[in-house]
Amino acid sequence: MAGLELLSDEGFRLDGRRPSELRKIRLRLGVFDQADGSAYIEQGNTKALATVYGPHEVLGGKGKPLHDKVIINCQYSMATFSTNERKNRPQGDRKSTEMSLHLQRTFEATIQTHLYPRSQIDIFVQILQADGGNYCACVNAATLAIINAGIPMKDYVCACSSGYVNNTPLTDVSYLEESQGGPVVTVAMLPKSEQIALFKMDNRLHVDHLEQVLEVASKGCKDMYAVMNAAVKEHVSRMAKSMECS
Amino acid sequence: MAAEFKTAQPVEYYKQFLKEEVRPDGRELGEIRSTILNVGSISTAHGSALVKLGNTTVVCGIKGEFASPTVEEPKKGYLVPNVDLPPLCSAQFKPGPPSIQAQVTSQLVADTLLSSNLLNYEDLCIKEGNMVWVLYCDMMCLDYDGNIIDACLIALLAALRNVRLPVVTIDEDTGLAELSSTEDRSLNIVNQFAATTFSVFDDSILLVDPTVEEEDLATGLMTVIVTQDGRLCNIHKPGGTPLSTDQIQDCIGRAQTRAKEICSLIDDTLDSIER
Amino acid sequence: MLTSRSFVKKTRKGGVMKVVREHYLRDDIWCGSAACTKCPIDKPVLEKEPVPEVENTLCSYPHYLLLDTNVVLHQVDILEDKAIKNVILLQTVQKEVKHRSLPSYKRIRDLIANETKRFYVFTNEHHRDTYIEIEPKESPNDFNDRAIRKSLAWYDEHFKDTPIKIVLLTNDIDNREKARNEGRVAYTVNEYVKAMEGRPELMDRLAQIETKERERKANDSDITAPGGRNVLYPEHLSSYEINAGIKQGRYKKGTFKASRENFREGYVSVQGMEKMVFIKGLANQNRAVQGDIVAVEMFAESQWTAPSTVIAEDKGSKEDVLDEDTDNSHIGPKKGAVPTCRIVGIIQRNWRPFCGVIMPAAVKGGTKHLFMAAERLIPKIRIETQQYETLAGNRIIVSIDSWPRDSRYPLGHFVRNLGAIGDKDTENEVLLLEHDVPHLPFSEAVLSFLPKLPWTITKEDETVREDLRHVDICSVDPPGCTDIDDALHYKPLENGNAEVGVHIADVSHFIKPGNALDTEACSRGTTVYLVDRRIDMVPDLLSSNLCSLRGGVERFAFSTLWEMTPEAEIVNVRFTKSIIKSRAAYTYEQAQNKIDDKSQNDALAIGLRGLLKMAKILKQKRTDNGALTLASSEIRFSMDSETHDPIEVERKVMRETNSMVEEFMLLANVSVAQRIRQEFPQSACLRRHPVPPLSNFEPIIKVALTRGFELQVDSGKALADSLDKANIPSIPFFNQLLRMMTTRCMTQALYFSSGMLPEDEYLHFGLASPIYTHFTSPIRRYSDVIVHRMLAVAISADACFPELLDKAKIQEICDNLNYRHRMAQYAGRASVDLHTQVGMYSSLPV
Repeated sequence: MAGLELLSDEGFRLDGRRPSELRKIRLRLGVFDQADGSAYIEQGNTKALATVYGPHEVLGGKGKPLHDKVIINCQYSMATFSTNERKNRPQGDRKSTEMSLHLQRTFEATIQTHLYPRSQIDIFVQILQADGGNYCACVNAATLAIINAGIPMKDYVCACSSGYVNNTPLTDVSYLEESQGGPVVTVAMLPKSEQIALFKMDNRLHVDHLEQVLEVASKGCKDMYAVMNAAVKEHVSRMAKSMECS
Repeated sequence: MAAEFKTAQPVEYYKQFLKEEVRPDGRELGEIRSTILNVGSISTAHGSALVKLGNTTVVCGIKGEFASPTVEEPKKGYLVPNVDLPPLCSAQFKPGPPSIQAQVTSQLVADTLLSSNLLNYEDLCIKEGNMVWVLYCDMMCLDYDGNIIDACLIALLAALRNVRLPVVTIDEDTGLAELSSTEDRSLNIVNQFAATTFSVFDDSILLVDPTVEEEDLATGLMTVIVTQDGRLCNIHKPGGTPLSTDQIQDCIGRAQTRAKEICSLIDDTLDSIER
Repeated sequence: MLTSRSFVKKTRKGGVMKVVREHYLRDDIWCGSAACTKCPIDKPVLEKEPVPEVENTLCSYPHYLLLDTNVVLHQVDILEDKAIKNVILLQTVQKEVKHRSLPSYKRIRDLIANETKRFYVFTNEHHRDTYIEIEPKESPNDFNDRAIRKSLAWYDEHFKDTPIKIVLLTNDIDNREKARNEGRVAYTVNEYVKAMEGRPELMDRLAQIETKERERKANDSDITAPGGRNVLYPEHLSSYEINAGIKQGRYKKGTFKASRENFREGYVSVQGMEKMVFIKGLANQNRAVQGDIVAVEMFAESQWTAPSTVIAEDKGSKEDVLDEDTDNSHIGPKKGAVPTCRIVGIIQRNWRPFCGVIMPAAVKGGTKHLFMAAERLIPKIRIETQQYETLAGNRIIVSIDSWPRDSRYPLGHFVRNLGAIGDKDTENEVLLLEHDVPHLPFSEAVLSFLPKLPWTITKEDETVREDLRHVDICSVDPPGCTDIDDALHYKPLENGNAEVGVHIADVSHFIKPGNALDTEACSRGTTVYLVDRRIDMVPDLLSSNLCSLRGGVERFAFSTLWEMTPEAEIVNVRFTKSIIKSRAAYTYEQAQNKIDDKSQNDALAIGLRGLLKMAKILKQKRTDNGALTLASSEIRFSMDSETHDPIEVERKVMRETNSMVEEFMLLANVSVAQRIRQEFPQSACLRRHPVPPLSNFEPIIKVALTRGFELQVDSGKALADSLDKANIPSIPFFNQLLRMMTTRCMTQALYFSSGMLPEDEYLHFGLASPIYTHFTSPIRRYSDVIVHRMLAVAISADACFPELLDKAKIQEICDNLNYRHRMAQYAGRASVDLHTQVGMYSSLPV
């Protein structure tokens, strides 16, 4: 078959990872001052930034305040220079709108929305560089930003994608792996309760394989959680120290 | 206590500080916030830079594409600058079409590029009258804490210096462009420039490099853009408190010093990356 | 550790893409050796004490071999010998080999999979210590060589505390010298093989590349000079020049086909051109070998020539090449001139190992010999061997290595000796090898999936299957047939209609998807029938016993049951898995006799008569639709049951019963095709027969015209009708001859996955059916096994599995089946030819 050999017979992927390995993760909380919460994450070459504003009063004509819960407003956008080929519209196209909606749904399911009736929380995510797993990076960054903003959630939301090649599930697929036309499953999960907040699949996958692919994706989510949790703890202890000093 | 005072009577709050010749964030009146620069961090772009001017953060990514040149200037490529102030960077910007401020800033950057003789545009020519490089320079603010123009121009300049374009050859027979996968080149920057922004407080006090609070309270703003060798490139003063010639002269002098600083900052940063 | 690679690409729209990829470097890639104490390896590949099978005088110490790319590319024949073991293969090398030669890559993958060979793949490009970056101005070749030496150094260092040394094998003198200068052990393959004690014949198998290259360097001066004495052929253009030329339309790409009549002539079938383009002269053929993909330059019309009418055989003088060019210079087009071209470069070689015989050396006792391939279209090959005495009079296999400009013939090397000429087994082996028929005995792994004997029908089986044991079913096949995969029945119904059943052996019950048995059957694709031998697709236990619907035994079947009116209109159809008990296995002749014998009036006789009546109506309908009746000159052999030697040659006789069975098989196939297409719109395995392009018919139209008949070829119907009219009473054979020729004009019928083509291309031209598949011979065709599985899913008799839904995978299987079928057909014909010749030869009076 034409196309790239995504998984070598020796068990290495094109970038040198083994099937179950995540890409290199770098993340930071509280990167910006203006926003109430912010975070930056790098998963391999995918780089995402999230800022959170709120909760604040409901502004603008769009939504009416809800009497029993907070409005979550998400906006996903991609920098024009984030992709291999220049993007003309950073947001507002169908893909971005879909992503915004996915994010909104994900966080409506996890933020303790009943705590802030009649108000609004804005979550903005910006992809600075895209190399596959954009949604995952956004969810992870947004989770950290929400934590940074001090907004209570039921649990972390961690997201991870997985693909399926040569009867082997691959974790955290890169753009190159995504674009070969194979199935890609994206899962956003609450790692402690193992509940799935969002599940998305592109291309066809036979139902017999779903279980293993799903398992790999949720394993990825849990690995992600470990990294994120460590970063949050580190951030908090640093904050505590600086407070003591002052 | 201080916080409530600041919210209720910001002008009074500021006056208290300025009386002592110091600004609420601890700077002197003529002091510029610390400037941190990072280049080449976005590898999908042909050139990129990230600038932090105090808290104000701007990232600039440049992507090159092929385009046809204009009929009048068949040999010249061109730059398309754009400044984006997304809602992500501050609560004061709302989702939707670009804000007026973003449009004004974009225009100012474009005008400055036109008048600055920054680079030799004929360098961007691939085939005369047929194909040239167009460089899309997208500047995006990630954290808005005032003085966006200065930050944008630093990011733009550093990103342009960071640009590596693949060498292009035109196939004689087919007329199609072939990109070299191994060879690339950088841009030949002729004349660098930098901006310095001043805000006027209470119609009298000149503050350099205003924060967002200071911009909000300002009765006037002025941006002076000078080239590396000290020549005046552009002055942008959108109304507000009138300033005397002496004051303007003083500003220009300070801008010249600042331009030298910025250029050497960019030099140093690029050097450290290349090494 | 992480580095990132980036490169730029132009997109189709003309935009510029900057592609960035990550490249991880790891510290957990192990050396793969059992002797190593540093790496935690579960399953070491390389032996702890690598004692070579054969003593090597150059390297008498324990060592592992590390191979350079060129060795893998050109010397696989040596590597396949059991004397070569404990080999380190770098990822870089593997990648390059895959890029340059898929056949070599496949062979090397087989070697890696073979555990006894102990080939270890070292993923050097992702290893922290062996990764290198390309330097500015470095050529890809130099870069790869450097990567190889880097890994060599790493291995050397890694094993410095053990007695094991690492030896680099290369064909490239430069690389050898560089490695030696870096303090490594490096030899050329020639040096290494020469030093192997007691295996001089291995030298014969060395590809003739290294020595030639060296010679050529020495003679560089007179080779480069145009018209130099030694140069026989024009230079080939580089692939870069070819690509550029094709883009601009200066050159065309096509497949070279040598002429059967005249070695100086050939044709190129150029993409997008209906007619083949003619090539005259060896210099214009420019070293192309049958099947090579070449780039050609078309001549201006004034330079076109006509194919000669002389049959010429290659006598092998150098003048053949030099002389002929003169006759290109004539002025004006010749009479009967056709588009003519010359070959400017080779895009892809179609070289494979060839079977043939060795010819005596020009000088007695010399080592340089010519080899003549069994396939006439292949030029003679020059080989060097020390063992002419043993090889003479034997069938041997030879590979082509290169064809330099100064050599009249391509250079090759000896690979394997098959056995004496004329020996039955040798000749069959030749046939099978030539047609790439997998014919090794089934492996243990495959046999392990066979059902255990004694096999019985269980209660459980009886509950899920429809019991048709009470139905009077019989089979009709050629005599001596042991793999009976179809049986029939006919039962009049009370309403005046009749129930007709076709029962097909339920092979898919025994072959479960994905196991070794299934994989093997899929790879074989079909049973191959030679005159005196049958190469089964599935093991004998299944093909001749458990699946075979023999008379008087209970068997599983997949049944298709129709209710039909007396006019042979289908009222309804259903499919079911069943248990049947065939009452009798008739031959065509026996069945015919039973029908004709008016005294017999048992259920089977009535059934057969009913079937025959129906079949005639069905056939008429089909013919009215435009189905073609084509003839083939099939002959059959009567075999001696003891020796399997053919005793007698006879023409196949067509009886009514032949076409009766055929008719119902067609009907079943069509019914099944419709059903699975419904259930698997994207991935149904179907069979199509494309409408042949009109130009295909030109020769027979001409032939028919000479006798005053006009053939209509615009539709199947018109063709069938005009064929029927073309009768010359005085020459009864004329019509059949015409039909035989028409068969040759046809395109090949092909398997395909329904999702790959638009619906109007599903057409089966020969049968005039809009949709068709193969369902009725699962014992000997793998396509039918797939179709069975699909049908089983369609009637919910079996669970679906992912591969059945994957249209690309089904197409992949279909491609293999198409190839295997074609080859099986050729092999069968070749076998008939062989035996016809043998038969004629032996019947000559001595």
